[in-house]
Amino acid sequence: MGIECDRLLHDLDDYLHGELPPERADALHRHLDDCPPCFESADFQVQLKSLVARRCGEQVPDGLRERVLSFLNTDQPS
Amino acid sequence: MADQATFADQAIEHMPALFAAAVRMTHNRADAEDLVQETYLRGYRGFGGFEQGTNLKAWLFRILTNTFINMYRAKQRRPQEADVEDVEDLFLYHRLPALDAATRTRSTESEVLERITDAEVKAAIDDLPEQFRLPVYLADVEGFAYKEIAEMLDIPIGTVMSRLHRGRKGLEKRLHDFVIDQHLVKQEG
Repeated sequence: MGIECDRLLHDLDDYLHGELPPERADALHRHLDDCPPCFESADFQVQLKSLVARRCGEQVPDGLRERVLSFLNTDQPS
Repeated sequence: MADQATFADQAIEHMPALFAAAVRMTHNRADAEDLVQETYLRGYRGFGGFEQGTNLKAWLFRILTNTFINMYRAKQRRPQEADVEDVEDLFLYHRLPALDAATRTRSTESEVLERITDAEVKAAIDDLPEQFRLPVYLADVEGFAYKEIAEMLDIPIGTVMSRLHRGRKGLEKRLHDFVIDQHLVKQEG
């Protein structure tokens, strides 16, 4: 991958988040269509982001939902 | 203007997301539980100011984040200048092929990624200094827009972007350490 690839891929995470200004997003999009190695790296980055998002669940402690609902209901005007 | 009586109905479904975020913020399930309760209390009291039809989850996360910063950050005394090591873009991607170029395919890449556990991803996030941890979590786990994150953290959007850029690389560096530790790939000579 060349300097041009590196320069464009610097924006990759912002691009995947839908946060690049349209001109830069278009330029990167076109490049990914034309450059298989960059497309592969983008594909990897999509997988990585998906993994991070999926691996962060926490079980809500027993009773927290009920406690919150109970004080919200108590606090409400009758 | 939102009707307070409907707050519980609308807001309770966001509890799993709020609690998971609170655990990453506080590093502690008991503190996270307090933080979530406080968030619902403040949300209920302030619900009159919520504009129906806008994003309730983002509104609740803004309260969560503010409450965390006000209640917990002061006592943590974590140095705000803490930084993360700057590494190359696409650090994890670029380090995997050098480790095992001969057998690398999309499916071996997926295999390596999928063997990273929940605990490892959480530890990698927890290890980020707070100024990076919060934006990375809010963007990459919760999927909030940069503008929403800037409002939640009350910092300029440019700061959000630069912290995300460094924080994401720090996260990849840490995940790479776990991959190496697991001997999933051979370390470069």
